[in-house]
Amino acid sequence: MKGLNVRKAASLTMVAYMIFAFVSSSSAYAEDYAFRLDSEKRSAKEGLGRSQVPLLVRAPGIGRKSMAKILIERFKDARRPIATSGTVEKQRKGNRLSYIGDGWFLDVNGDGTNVRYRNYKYLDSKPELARPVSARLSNDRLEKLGREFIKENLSEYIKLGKNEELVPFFTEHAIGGGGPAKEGAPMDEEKVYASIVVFTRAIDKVNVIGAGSKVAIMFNNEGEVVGFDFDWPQYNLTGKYQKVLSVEAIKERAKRFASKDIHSPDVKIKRFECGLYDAGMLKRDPKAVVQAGCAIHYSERKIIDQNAYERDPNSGHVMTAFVDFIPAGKTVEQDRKWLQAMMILNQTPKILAAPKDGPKSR
Amino acid sequence: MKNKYFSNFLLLPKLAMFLALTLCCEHALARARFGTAGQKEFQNGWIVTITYAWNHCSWFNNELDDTDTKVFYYNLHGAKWWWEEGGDQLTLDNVNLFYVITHGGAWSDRSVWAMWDQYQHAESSSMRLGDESYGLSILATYCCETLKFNDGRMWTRMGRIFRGGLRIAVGSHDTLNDGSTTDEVGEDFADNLQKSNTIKWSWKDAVSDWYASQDATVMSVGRDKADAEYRRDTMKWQNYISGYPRLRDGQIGYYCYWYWNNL
Repeated sequence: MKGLNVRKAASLTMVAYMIFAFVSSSSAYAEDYAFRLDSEKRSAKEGLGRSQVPLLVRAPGIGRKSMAKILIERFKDARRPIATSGTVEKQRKGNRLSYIGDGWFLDVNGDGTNVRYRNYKYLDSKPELARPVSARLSNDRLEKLGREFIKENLSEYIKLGKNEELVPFFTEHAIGGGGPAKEGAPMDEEKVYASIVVFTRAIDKVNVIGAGSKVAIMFNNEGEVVGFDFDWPQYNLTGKYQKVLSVEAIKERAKRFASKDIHSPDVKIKRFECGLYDAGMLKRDPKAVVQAGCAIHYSERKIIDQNAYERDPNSGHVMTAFVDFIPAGKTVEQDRKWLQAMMILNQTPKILAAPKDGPKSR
Repeated sequence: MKNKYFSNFLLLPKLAMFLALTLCCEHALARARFGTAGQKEFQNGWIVTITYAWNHCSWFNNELDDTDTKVFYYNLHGAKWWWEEGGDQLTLDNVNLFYVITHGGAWSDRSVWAMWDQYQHAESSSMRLGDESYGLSILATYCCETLKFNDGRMWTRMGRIFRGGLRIAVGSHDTLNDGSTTDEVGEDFADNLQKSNTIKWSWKDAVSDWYASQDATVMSVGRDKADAEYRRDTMKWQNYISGYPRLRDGQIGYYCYWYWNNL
């Protein structure tokens, strides 16, 4: 009888876990906007959806010192939470210039086209604003608030060229939870603490993929801006065009040049997105042009302990995730920071070289 | 009167011993200790290569050793023994912060980290951190899944590690990507820590790049809910010792997590 009760309790616990897992995994706390969803559908069907694209160059920014000076001045008298007033410590490290104030910081990188500002002290000072996840800021509201902030505060730096658009890309939310430190104890309700909206650039309706051409605005639950990032250059035409491969040819190229075997049964493709590839100011070859490419986001679930897996299909594995950018031009342009471009051009990427100060075995 | 002086005299060695223990064991010195580990290729290719693993580790090292002391930088060849109990006093527990990149997994009853050796993995069910040598305080793992919570089994998987007194862990509840735009995570994490950002925000800002889908997660523990959340939300590289006494075994009443979801 006792054994029966134990088994019954154990099976009830398992059912509770399964229901919990189902409910949790079916909750989507990050959402893509229509532009991204359409772009993915089009990419899967047509690749870039055009026969050629213009090759672009990133115009040099005004420099990190000048940009920092402008932003410090711009937000000097602003009411909190975006503020740059008070005592400031200035740091220079590599190509980064940082200003650190009372609970806030501003990083300006490279030529000044890459910026990050945060006021975490302000955000963290209002824990009472935490609310149930279902009451988080909606995508429509985040887009509206984000556009307003950009228009009022960043329009001098988030400029759009001819046939360019600022389009909402996705949102994500900061969520906290927990539970008693006891085996099998139920978890408490999760709360949302902050939200971010990310915008991208469309050029003639073609998405810019990669970390370049992105603006991210962070809000607390009252809709106050507590941080922002942008990697936003102006693009100039080179006068040259690049012919683009068909989607079948791009996928064939991906089969050869992706970091892993994307056709392995263990691999799950999570996204396939084509456009103009800009890795962002921090990661790109400054001499390279912006050219056609497709991003493949994929993960691999590999069983490493067959016995554990057979006893429990939720066990016995490790996960790995990758993002590869596959050049989509018929002729690929030189880019010394783009692994797959270099491989196609039969060049040896330096990024794969063994480090001089590499790890040792213990 | 004489007795009073005598008792003060006896107090001095005790005070000196207390200070020495504080300085040595909890490392209240200006320079903290950190260790790094990672693996790019695995024995006989038993799992896939992490192309950018060395960039993660070496850039993290280059950044953090500007202000703190790098105690070790190891690959994961034959490493299971020094991850788990029995060997961790020489490695993970010999530093204040441990940063690693490898493949990870969340099983129903444990989290696992892949080693170089074929089919070898370290298991959270054989780990207890924070109770030997200097005692690890911050466990940072650029690995998938090991801080998974959405099946209600986070404490089952990670509890044993925290029961040794570990203060905070950062990692992922789902996936973190290997790719050319995410190989600076270690460097950025170190930089954010040095700027006195909280550990929670340091991890989030290091992991994000606004294009690759990155699922950042932070986990901490406390005597109760308020204590656990306070630790999670306020702990910094500069203050993790002073305001956050270690909690071990039955002292831990609550665990909490915090994440950004991207897919």
